Amino acid sequence: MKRTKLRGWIALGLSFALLGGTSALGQETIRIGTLYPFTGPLAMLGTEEWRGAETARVVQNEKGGVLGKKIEFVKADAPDAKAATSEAERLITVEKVKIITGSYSSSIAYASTPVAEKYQVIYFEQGGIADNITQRGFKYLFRNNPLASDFGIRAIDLSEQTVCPKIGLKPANTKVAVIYEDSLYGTTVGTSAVKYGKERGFRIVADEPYSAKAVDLSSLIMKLKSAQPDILIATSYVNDAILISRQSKELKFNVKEFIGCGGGHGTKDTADALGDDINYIFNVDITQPRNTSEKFCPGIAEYSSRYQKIFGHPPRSGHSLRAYNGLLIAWDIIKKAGSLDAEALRQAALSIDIPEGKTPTGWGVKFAPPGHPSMGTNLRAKPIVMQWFEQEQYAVWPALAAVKDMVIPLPSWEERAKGKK
Amino acid sequence: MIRPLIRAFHEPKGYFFLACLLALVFLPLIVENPFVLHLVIMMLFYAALGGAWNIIGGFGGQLSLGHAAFFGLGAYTCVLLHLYTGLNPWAGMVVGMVITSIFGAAISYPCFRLRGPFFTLATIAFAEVLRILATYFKNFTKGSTGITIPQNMGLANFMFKEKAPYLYIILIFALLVFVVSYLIEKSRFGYYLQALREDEDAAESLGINNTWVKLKAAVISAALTSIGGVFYAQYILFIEPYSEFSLDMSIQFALIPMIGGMGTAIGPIIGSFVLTPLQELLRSWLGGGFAGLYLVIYGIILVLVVIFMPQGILGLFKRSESEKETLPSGGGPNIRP
Repeated sequence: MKRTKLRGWIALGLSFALLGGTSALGQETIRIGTLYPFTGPLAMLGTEEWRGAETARVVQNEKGGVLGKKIEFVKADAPDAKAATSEAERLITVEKVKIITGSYSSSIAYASTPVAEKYQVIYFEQGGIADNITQRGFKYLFRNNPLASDFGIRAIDLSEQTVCPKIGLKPANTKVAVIYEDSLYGTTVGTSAVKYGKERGFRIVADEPYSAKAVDLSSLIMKLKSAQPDILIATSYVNDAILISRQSKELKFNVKEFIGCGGGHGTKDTADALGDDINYIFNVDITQPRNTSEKFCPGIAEYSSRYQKIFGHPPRSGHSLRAYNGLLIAWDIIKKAGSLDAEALRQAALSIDIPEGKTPTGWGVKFAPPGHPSMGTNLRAKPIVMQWFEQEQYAVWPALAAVKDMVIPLPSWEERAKGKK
Repeated sequence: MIRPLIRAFHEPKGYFFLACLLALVFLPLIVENPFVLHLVIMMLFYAALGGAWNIIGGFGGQLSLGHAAFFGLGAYTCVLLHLYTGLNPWAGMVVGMVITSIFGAAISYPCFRLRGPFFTLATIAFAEVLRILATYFKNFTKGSTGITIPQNMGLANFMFKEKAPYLYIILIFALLVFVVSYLIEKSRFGYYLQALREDEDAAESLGINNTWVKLKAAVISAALTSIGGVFYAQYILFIEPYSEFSLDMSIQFALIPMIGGMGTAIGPIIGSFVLTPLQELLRSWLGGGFAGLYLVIYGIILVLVVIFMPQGILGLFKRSESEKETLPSGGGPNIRP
């Protein structure tokens, strides 16, 4: 018994040894904690986002780093919210980093950011899209990416400004159905589409959450079929996105326009599973590294080639691009602040003012000032709209980013299956 | 009833236990690093929840893989009451215990009248159903967005800026679970549980009311687990259905006593004091360099423990102790093969 108790203490002792070992390092470099899910179900895109950050680090170090020092990353693996809190705690108190960047997933960002706030450590968020992450009045949290509600708003904007005129309807006569998977991501995007759609005078005929784990969504499709919507706005992960399209086709459920909001509607896996059935579907998403106009995203081609050089393959998705973009801005903020002092960094971040169309994602930068309900979030980051052509997505809206003209209305399943190009 | 507990402290292992306890009490005065305190809090947290699971799972041998249901139910009851009625979390904890006990009894009673894997299946299903309900009733539970507990520090609100008060609370809770387990282990009730774990028919033929005994153990276990849920909610200050009712959590509660030593009061403590730091330290050492390597190593360690120490870590020591006892006392040198 004694011996086993001892094991616990030995392990604890070892943790002290760890503290002593690491905290003395790193006087000549700027150390930044990168908190991402590198393992677990979120690992694939979490790692992809980190790679974008790594690209930004390598590029900047070639230019001599910032403030005359090289940048060094301290990696922390946060597969879930529980791990995120302990890893944030470790990065700050053991590794003594002054800046953390992360975190791909909303749930991870939600759990790790309060820790950074408590210790007054600057947190540059690149991926968590849930609106409420920045609605807690945190002073040291800056989020570069668009909010979940922006996706819903964009989908409604698209319907109002381009779809409605093309199909010859006024919003008041247009029936819109909104479906979304019921976790945090789908719920925030879907409810924002419903809310904003109502404000713009659309007729919301369905507001249906469903479980992304479902293996049969035919009851949902039948419900939609009887509601006869003109426009369907869906927020899904991969498997359910595939299921919705397949079962809609089987049940001959056609709409005039289908708008997906990121997630499963924008991944290659969905395209592979659906084949030509994915063509002409709209996808409201973060800026992708391919098929987006350089006019809107200056530096996007350079980014792709740098990424390719470091990792040996082209960027897998827009997740890495947004982290790259966010960190380029972070370097600017550090340069402007002139030190790693949290207060100086905060003031520098608040003073950054970049219009749209000047960064590799095309997003402008203006962090919401103190007093704003979403303080610290980037007010100029907006998702763009893509459309699928021949199982490949191309930017179509806003006009500056577009590389192809959009096709409205959506051809019926039969026409798509015939391979009508 | 308290006598066996007092007697235990007259033995060397009792002294050792007290010494460890004192060390934990003084730890926050010596160590300032919040990460180390966080680690110790998590060790005690899992020791307590593993211990609570152990009462029905270890002593009674009724495998539950849905203790997260009781955990989440306690947390949600307390947080929702606090949010909507302004009820103090401490009182909310008691209400949570009562509600969880009722649910625990309701789910267990039908299963315990049956033989087979029904209890395990029912607990898993129960946790899933609660998760879906918590997601579905958006207007009431805020659905999958989760609930952030408004910060209002103070002992009365069970909320602190520092880690030390959390450490003392979880220490008291872990001790409570340990004392309850120890008393069960040494009591007639505990013997009943162990008897029916070994052979239900034999136990029944000796006049033990199997269903009633199991039900009592399940209710005690559920009520203690709900306290853990409240603690966790007040510690993280955020709850959401996916993490509160997750199967991973349920498995972790079961794994800790299994590794430490099932069906003993001290087993879950040993299990947690070995597993929790192991997991955290492996992650911080290896998590950065080779993604996933720490999980592989952690998994291998678990497999090895299960293969070579089927009785858990404690089993290793139990065996050598019982060997010692069978040796004739004072009879020459202690030779072992």
